[in-house]
Amino acid sequence: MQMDDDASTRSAYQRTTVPVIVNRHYLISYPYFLHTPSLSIPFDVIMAPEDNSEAFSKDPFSGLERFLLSTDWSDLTIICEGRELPAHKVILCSYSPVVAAALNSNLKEARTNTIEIQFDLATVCCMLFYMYSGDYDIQKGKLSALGFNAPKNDAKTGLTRGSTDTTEISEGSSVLNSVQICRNGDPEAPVIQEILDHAKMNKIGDYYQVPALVKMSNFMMDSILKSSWSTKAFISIVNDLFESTGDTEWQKMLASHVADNIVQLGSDTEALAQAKDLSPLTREIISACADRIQVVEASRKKSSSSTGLGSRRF
Amino acid sequence: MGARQHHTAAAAGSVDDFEYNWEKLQSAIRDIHLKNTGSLTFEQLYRHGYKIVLLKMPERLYDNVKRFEESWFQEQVIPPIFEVISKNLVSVTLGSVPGTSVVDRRAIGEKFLKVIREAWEQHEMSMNMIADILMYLDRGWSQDQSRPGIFAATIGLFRDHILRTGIQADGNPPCTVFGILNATIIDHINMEREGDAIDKALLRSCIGMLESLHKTDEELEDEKLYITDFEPEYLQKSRQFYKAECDRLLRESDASTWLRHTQRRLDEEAARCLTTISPITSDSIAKVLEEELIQSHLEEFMSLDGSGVRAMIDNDRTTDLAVLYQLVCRVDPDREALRKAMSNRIIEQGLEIEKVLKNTDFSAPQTADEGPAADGGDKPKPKTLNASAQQTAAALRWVDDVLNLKDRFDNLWSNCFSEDLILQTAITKSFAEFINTFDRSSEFLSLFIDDNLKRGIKDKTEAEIDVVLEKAITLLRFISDKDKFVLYYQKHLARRLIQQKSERQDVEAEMISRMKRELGNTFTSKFEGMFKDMNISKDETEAYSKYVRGLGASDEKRIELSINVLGGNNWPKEIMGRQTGLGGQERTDAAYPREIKALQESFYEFYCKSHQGRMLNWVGTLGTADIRCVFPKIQGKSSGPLSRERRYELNVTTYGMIILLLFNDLPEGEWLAFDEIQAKTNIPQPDLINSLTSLSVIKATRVLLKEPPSKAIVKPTDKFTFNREFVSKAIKIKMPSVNAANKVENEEERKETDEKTNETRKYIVDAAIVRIMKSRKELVHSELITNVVQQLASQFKPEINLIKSRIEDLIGREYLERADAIDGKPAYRYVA
Repeated sequence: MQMDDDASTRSAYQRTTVPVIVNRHYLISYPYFLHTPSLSIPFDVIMAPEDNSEAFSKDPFSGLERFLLSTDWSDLTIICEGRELPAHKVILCSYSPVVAAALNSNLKEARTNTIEIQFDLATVCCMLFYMYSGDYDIQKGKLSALGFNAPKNDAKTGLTRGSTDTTEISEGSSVLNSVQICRNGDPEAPVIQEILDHAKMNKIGDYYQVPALVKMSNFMMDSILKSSWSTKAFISIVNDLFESTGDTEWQKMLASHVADNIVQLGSDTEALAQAKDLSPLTREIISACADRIQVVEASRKKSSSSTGLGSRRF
Repeated sequence: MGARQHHTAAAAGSVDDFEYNWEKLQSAIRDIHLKNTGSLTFEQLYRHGYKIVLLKMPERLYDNVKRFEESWFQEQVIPPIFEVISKNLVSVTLGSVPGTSVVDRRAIGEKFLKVIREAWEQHEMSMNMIADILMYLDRGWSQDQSRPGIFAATIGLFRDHILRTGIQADGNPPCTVFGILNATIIDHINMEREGDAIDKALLRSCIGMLESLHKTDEELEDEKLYITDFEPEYLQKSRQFYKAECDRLLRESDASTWLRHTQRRLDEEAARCLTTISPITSDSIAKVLEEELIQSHLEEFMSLDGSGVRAMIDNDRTTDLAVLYQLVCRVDPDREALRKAMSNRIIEQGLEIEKVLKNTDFSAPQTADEGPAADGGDKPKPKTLNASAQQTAAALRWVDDVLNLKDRFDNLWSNCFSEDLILQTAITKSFAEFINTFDRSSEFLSLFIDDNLKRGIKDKTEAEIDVVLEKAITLLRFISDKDKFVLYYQKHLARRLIQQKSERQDVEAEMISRMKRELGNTFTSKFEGMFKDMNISKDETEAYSKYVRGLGASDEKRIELSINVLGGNNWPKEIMGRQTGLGGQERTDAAYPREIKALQESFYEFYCKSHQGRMLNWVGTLGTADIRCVFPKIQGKSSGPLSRERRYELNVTTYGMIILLLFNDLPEGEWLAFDEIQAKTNIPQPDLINSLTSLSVIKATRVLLKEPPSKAIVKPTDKFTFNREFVSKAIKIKMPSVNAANKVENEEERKETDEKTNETRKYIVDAAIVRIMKSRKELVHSELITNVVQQLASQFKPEINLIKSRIEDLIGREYLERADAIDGKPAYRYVA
């Protein structure tokens, strides 16, 4: 009985879902959000004695995520790059005081229940991912954005099949192009691209005053820089975010990476000059620090080898 | 140099950008003020603010907005406000009552308030929208600087530029718009208090404004203008108003009006806090009312003649009392005033009962029941009430009155005082106080029970009986001299048992078990012992008659014997024979006739078989005898009862029987003198007088003739002879026991009872002192006294002097000795 009910409601949701690319990877990733370890332990204990597991199994669609980009109960439309994205006031307003103020404002947004967002579609999709699931994934955001480019019919078939491959999506999307360009170009390009995508999340989070999203984007940039430092990436972040976000945490994060890689950065004056938004003084300071550290390093090596001798002698 | 150039260039660009964005914003702000928002988009406006912040020029934006608003006030808002501030309004503020009528004043005030409300609502709405649009401004830079948020800053402009604007009216000291606003609001509220209708919603909006604005832009919660500026003035003005009102009430009205009025005012002010001003004031304004309307003249109102507490209680004005209670509770957690008033009234009424009772006692013997005082106390048989019956009636009346009084106050307590515990204690205490100041309460209560168990409960249902018993217990609880009550109850119970006057054994038992529940085992042990004696005696009697039949001596003249063996401890001493009682006379045995003596010996022999070593004393005053008596035919009478021989069965006391037997042998026409009878029978004189009176004075039972014949009681000089002409319609005649009906003590007896109680109390106090000292070894004087009083509380309230003298006595007998003072207080030590 219960299973039947669940099945019917689930199919109803699927029927009315708007063009989102739901590929296998996406479906499999559900448990990642839902079954955190703390949840799964009692879950197993309850299941253990008998095989009526259906009675206790959690509906994988029970999270708010199932409403992502869904017209079900949608009471708000986001307009972005000329496309209309269905959304839900309760979710967006609870995350963003700016959206809430807009919808309370008595101005055009409140009258029409639409909000025009002047960020690119993939970034907006990522922010929505974040608001509906507590997490965002640049790739998924891009894929969703691609979905809006596809003709409606295609998207629907893709959805029902549930295994639509990204390569099947028609070309002509700027987002897709950039992805491809990244893959073909210079070896540092993918890293730079990825880090700039996160910088966008920082900007949109700052604009709509979603501090947690800003924090997450900073964390993502931080971990990318940790695993693969690149002077180019550093410079592109500086140029991108400087004076275009109200957030300041990214500067601290970046500064600590500068400190870690100061020798490499300071010696590369040519690249450093590319960071237009760094004042010349700043650039000079970085170079000077790098030089000084090299001198200190060198003398330390020398003295450690001499003390090494001394100790041997002793 | 290059760097500076770079920056100034950037700055120049920024300024242009700023001006561009600010222009957009400024026109939008104007549109918002003009309510012309049709074409505005939030997103765009927000973006302008965002851009300015990213240009790092938020302060400039902030200041621009403030400047814009300030000039907007000057141009658009202040002129209409000044227009409606008239001279009258200023006068109201300054406290002088203007010559205009209330109606005019209200109209002017309303006009002013409406303009203020309009301006405020406009401002608040616009500021909300502007603050929303400039939302990024707060976020973008208020982190670094300690300026208030844009909303706080702009909303506060209303306070600085409107409310605090001074007004210089000619000839008057300066005042502000705010001052006028406060005064106008309070003036309107006073109008409403006087009964006029006002626009509450209008006031509420203005109050709402004062609640939204704060003293500074820091917007501290407790620095709302409402709290800092309005409320204190409101409370002070209200205090003045109610002070005057209360003075007027005290001059012109009675307590009842005052109560109702105060109640109404409290409700009104509570409602006003919800509808007109702010709920946060409700406690403070209630306090003002409590202080001015209740506390300030509470005692004066309560003691008002004809409408104060006394009148409320006497006339059962329960609603008044209930209101009074609620008011008193508000101002005094101890209910001091009310408690005192209640106590006084109870004690007054208690003493009243006593007084009425005394009047009844004096008036009743002469003119049975005349005068209003005797109305309720006497049953409608005024003629035959002798002194003792009168006493019983008085006792019943007293118990009834006291219980009625108690009922009334209990009702007041539960209906008006919400069963308040403090008041309950006070009521109980007051009852105990007057009941125990009345020296006959123990006796009267016992008499009440006695009367009910003898006849009162005859035709009553179980439920009614239960009520009677409960009444008795209720009163018993109040009585502190429980030992005295025990003595009386013992006496009355003994009479009931021996004379078999008790209506129902089960009710007797129930009464005792209730006392037991209330006061414990020791209290009732004697009563229970008496019952046990009676039951054993019944068996004893049966066994004896079986035994006699077993002897085979069945002669016709055998005398039937029914016996009650009373254990000496359980029964009251005076019951056991008058000989031991009055005058300290030696105990003497009456001279029983031979037949009776034989019977006594026979029984004693029988009794000793089962109970060895016991002495049996025969109590002549309590026993009765049934005698068959033959009155001869009177010569010369040919008709009527006298013409025949008459046989009667007389039921007389044992002494009566002894006396009558003397006349068996007396030749016709001879007389026996009182002395002779006394000598032959050896009956104590008082008992003899009683017995002879019952046999010779009362007409219906006059089997002896007295010389001289009179209706007075027998005197030791009288002579007696057998009344041959005695006639009675009944065959069985019960000789009334004169004086035996005397259930109430006469003065002498009462004195004796008191003495006896005091004597017993000495021992009880002794025992208590020794008990306490034995366990404590050493004890301070005052503590010892407290302990003794505590221990004896269930029995009686010992007088402190008694305890002191007993301590002295015990020291004399070397049970205690004086110890060294503990903490400078005298102390005692127990001597083992």
